Amino acid sequence: MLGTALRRLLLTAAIFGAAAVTAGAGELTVGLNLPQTGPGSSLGVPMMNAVSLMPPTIGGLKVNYVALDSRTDVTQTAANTRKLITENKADVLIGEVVTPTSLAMVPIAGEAKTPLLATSPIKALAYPVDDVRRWVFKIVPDDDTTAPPVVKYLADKGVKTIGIIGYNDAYLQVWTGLFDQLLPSTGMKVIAVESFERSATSTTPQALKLIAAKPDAIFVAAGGTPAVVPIRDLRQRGFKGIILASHGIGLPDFIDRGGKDVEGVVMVGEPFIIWRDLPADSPYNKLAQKFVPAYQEKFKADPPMMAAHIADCATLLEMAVPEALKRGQPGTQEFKDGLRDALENVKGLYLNNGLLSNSPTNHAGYDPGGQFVMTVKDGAFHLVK
Amino acid sequence: MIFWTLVVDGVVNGAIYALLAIGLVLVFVVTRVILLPQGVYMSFAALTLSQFQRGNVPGTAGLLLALGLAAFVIDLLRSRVTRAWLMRRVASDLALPAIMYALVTWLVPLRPNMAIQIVLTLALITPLGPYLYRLAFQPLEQASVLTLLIASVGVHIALTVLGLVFFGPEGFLANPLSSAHFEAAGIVISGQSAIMVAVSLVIMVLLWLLFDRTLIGKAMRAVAVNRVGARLVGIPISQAGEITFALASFIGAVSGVLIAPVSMVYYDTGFLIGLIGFVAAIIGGMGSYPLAVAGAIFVGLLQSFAAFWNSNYQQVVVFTTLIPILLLRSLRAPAVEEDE
Repeated sequence: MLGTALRRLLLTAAIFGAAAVTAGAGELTVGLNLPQTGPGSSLGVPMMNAVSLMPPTIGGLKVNYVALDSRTDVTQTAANTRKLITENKADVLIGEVVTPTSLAMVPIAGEAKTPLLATSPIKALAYPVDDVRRWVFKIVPDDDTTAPPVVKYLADKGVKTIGIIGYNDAYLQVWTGLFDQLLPSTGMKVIAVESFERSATSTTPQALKLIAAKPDAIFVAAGGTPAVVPIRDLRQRGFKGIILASHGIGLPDFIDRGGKDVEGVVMVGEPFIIWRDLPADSPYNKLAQKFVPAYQEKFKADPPMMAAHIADCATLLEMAVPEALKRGQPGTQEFKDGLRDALENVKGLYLNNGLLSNSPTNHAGYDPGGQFVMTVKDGAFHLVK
Repeated sequence: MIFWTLVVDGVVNGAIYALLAIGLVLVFVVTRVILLPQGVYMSFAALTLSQFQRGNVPGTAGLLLALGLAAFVIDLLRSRVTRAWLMRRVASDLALPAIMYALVTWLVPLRPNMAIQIVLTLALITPLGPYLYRLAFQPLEQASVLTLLIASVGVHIALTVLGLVFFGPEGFLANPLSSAHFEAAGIVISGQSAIMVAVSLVIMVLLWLLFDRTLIGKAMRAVAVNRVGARLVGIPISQAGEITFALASFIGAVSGVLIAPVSMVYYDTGFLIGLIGFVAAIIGGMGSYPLAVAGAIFVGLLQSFAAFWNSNYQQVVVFTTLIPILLLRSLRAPAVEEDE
């Protein structure tokens, strides 16, 4: 697996690298820093696949994509980011999916006044919008965006009491904070909060304690495969109420490992995950139609959520480049300023990740209305109507 | 009722820690190696089993081939090659991994039943121990405990990185060994937990029989008690080390098979669980099997109750409780290392 990833990377780098050398005026340079090796590679490889499907011209400009391997490593990421800016003269940066590496790109992009499309879910990438982060725009919604629909769903179901179980780290704090903020006006309350370690052999004690508190619903503040264990233990110990989880579970691995135990788990997440359940005239369905069949044909697999982030970057650039061209030519600071301003002023743009309206104070301006309630049914996520 | 459910949970986890602790004590007393990779055997076994169930040939099959070949070549260079030696090493280093590799690639796509998957897993992981011993530790036979520990860290890092290459960064969960559930006095006990405790007990009894009733076992005990003396009476130390490592990797593989269906196992899970096994072994003074087992059960129970009492402080409670215990032990049992 590593071999193919590496070969693919070298190939991509060779093609794009060769193109980059000949990059001249009137050509847009997009610099990508994505993990092709290391722990983040399972996320980064499909993204790199999607890069080969990005449009060859944007806003009438020929595009040079320069893609480097971050190796899921902070030092490598910093070196790559500097190289993309100084050597390749990137007009815009796209990158990283893993927390530490994605954060490492932010100060470098900000210092060089180069727009960065950040493809990782962490809120701190673009919040608060300060001198550095005014150059960073998030392609993935924050948990703040999915929290209001979560609370609304619970209220609609007549839930009065909520239990929370999550990772023993900052992520759990993010969600308890969001609930504290949103619940008072609804009459619902959190009656128990439990945490678990990623390495825990069992979450039975936590499950027992949560069930003993008798909540109507339990929220799981964890993502990906680790979220499976507490959900399974809750079910095994006889919890019959609603189980919701944060949108980090929206990955094929979660359903694959969870099997029967995660059937019926509810989450609020990006429209791309359930686009097949949306009507054919829905803007989200149309966006996915543009991207998914091409990806399937080329890579013989369904594109994961991360691959759609790259498609969203292309959509954003198609919007922003014509605006930036009014200010200057690619390769100039005026052009970068123009891109930044256009990205900051985007209003009501449909993306695979939701509906985006940015502002000078919010660079992750996804509309909660663009997030959908979905549930695991027969081994796949489906829209809850 | 919650109390007894927590007790069951604690004992089941304790059983896994106990197996790891026994492996660590075993290797330490015979070879003086603090075997950090003991936990890696566990995650390798668990992930290998998960891969079998998905119809994939796990990377550990190739690892076995590579380590066998490496051990053969190294030994060829440094041993006096006789015909008998060659026959034995070709069989154990080249033929065995090749047969296992062929067997795995042939059987796995046929989706054999659980019993065969488990046997294959154990047969793939167990030989890793002796190969690693011959490659990394046998050349350091005379070195100090500290040197051996550093070698152990090196082996551990290499294996963990290989684990990431073989299995990727995501965790895996295997199918349960038994889907039965039975109720006793109001508490539900899963068949899986019963099997975990039972198998751990069987392994302990078998080990006791081995050390108490067989010549090999007695020879290993002799090495543990006094290495120089054992050598003087003609016990081959290297061979004792090889057998010990095989036992340890076997025990590690069994614990991996047991834990695979219960908890999400990642390529690096073994280290964290192995660390708790190590703590249990230290409670037993790195020398006593019953004390190590008792320590493991104690840590399992402590974890379970701490998680129920306040899950935020689970690890804090576990590790702070250990400080006074370890302090007491180090005061009462002065260091006896470096007796040569």
